[in-house]
Amino acid sequence: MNDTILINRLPTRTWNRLGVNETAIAWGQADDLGEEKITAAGQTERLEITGSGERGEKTVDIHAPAGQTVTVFETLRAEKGLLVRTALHVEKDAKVRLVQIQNAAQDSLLRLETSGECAENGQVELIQVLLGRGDVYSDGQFELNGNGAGFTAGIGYLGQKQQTVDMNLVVNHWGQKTTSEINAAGALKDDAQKIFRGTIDFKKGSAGSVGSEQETVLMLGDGVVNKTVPLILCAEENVVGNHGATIGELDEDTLFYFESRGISAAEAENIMARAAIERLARTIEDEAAQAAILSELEEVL
Amino acid sequence: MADLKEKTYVEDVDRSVYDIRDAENDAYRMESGLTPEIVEKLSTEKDDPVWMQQFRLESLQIYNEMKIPNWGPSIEGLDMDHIATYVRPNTKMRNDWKDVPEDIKETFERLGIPQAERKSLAGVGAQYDSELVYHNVKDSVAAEGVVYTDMESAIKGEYADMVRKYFMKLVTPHDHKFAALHGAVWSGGSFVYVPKGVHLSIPLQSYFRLNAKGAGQFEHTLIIVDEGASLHFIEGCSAPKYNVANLHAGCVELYVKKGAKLRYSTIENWSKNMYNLNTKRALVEEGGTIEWISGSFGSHVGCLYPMSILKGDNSRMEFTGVTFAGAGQNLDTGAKVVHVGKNTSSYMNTRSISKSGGISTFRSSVVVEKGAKGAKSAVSCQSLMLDSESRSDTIPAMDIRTKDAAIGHEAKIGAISNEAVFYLMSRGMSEEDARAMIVSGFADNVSKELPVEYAVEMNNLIRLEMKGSIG
Repeated sequence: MNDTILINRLPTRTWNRLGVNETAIAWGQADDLGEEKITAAGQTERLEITGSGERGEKTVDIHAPAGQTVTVFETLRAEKGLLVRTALHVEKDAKVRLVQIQNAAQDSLLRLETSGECAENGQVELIQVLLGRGDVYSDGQFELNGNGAGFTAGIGYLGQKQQTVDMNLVVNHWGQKTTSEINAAGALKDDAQKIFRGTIDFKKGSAGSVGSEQETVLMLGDGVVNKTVPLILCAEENVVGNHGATIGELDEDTLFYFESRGISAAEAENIMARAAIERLARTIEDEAAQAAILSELEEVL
Repeated sequence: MADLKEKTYVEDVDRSVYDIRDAENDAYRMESGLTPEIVEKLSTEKDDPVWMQQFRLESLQIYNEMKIPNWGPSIEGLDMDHIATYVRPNTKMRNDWKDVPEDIKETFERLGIPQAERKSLAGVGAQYDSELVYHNVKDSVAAEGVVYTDMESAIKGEYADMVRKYFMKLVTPHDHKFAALHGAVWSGGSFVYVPKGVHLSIPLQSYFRLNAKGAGQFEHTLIIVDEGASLHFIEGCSAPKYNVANLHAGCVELYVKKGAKLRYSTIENWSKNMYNLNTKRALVEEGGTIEWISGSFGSHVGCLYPMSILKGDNSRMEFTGVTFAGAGQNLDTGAKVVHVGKNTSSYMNTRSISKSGGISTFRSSVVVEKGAKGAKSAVSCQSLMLDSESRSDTIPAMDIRTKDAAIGHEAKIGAISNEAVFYLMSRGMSEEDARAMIVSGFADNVSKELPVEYAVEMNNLIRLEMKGSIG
């Protein structure tokens, strides 16, 4: 039996008629797909998380001990409904690099709940590659507790057909001289719908902190709907926060460039839609992951 | 210079002329609260037409059925059972300042309204509590067919049909709870009609003064700028401070016809016990332009988001705003735009300043509908935090439903640069003056768009807010 639950809540509400304060989805009892604990330092872990039943829930707990680096690749294979909860615990001077790659079936529903806590100088690097099949709901909550803690996120998405891509990312700056940088880029085709909510919250006491957020959305379909909600919340004087968003279709100069080289508008749009994902894939610096992303991209586009 | 790293104490200061209270010498004060009987009594007092009495009662019903919004600043301190919705001053409306009672005239003299009228305005309306006490328009302007009158006269006189056609059609009582409240108890305000092709080279101004303690002001402003015409309308408001809540829930409806242009400027300086829950909206037809200039300095709680509906092809809007939130203030301001027509454009450019525990929120929405091909929108908001007791939040939202659009957004938040303060101090300026100058410069997006008298007033307000001991 399904219940309606509210997810991806904006930390502070705005006009209800915009439909961005939260998202209601149908969700119910799910199979327990178990818990994965990753504590080994200095190595790379690869998790293939597959949900083949009606609904499954998987928990992943990643712990980076002081001064150590942990890299985890999650390949998320949703057949129907899959919820993956990933919690990061980053100790002093440690780093977690989490790469999440969606490899879902058509008409699947993937939910990501990703959270993290960083102690002094702890760092999180989050890369999410959302590849254009099935609906995706991603909720991220990160706490920069220690002085000098840092968070970066690179998010690439492709939305097409009737797909929904619904994202919420909140970074709370508690410690002094903490840093955050969020970059999201993607393309929307056909009748895809996307919401990106990104919040940088400078708490009182987070003096010397810096946060920035940027989203670039390429609109390629006549039926697409894009919602962008970039928040900066600030209770501290000595901080610097920036956010920006650019939303639009391929500009005429770019189209002209492609057409002058015999590339049609439709092909040009596909090339540009791939570009955001490929750019992100290159930053992963892992051949196996890059190959998997590019192969999947070939299939969906 | 080492001291500059330390926190600066900026004292709140006397609000000078704005805080002078007149003795309450009302001709009539409605009992506090909001019931059908009170609304009917108000309607009788105002000698409403039948349709308006019915409209008020329907609005009250909507008000009672609607919930308080679940977003934005808390308005828990506002208790409608303790708000008098109608206070009639002890005079009728005059068109010569000589005939206005001395105490009321003195208040407006102190605020500089008659002087401004003589120097630089085409017409003035002055509202005191719930009714206009003065309204006048220059003969040369009236001769061009420009109508500038109080709403009560407009609703009953020769423009009655026109007013009924437009009144609360753009902001309906269903819009939100305080729009419904406005529909139930509105009183005062101005009606302006600028005929086709008429360009007013100097502005009209309405000034709203709320003197009564524990009262509400609910003026309605309805402006129609007909095809190819243009107008600059200025709105000012202030009130003395009391230790109980006052409420302002005005409503502004602006109709900008084909090829017309309207600039609507507001310097809001309500007292810091005021709940300012105002609603402003413009409907812009083909090739029309709406420009909003907005300075928000007063109020305890403010919610103000002028909205522009760009219905006609090639219509455009610009919003330029500054908000200064000091001690005890929670000012939630911004703008909304809906792109409906083709090749429409919008530009928002705002500055927010927070100090002494003040909370300043920039909130915006840009909606581009599916048919709004070729829409362009740019939003730029900057916030300045003057201490860590304050808050500054930026909450923009974009909802884009066509690929054929170019949308940009940028925001920045930060503190006053110590280097800039040092630079000014090294040239002989005190730290206090240096900071005031930097804040004035930060807000110059608005001041440079205002007529010089109003820009001077705005800079004086900033200087007053920044004045205090530095330690």
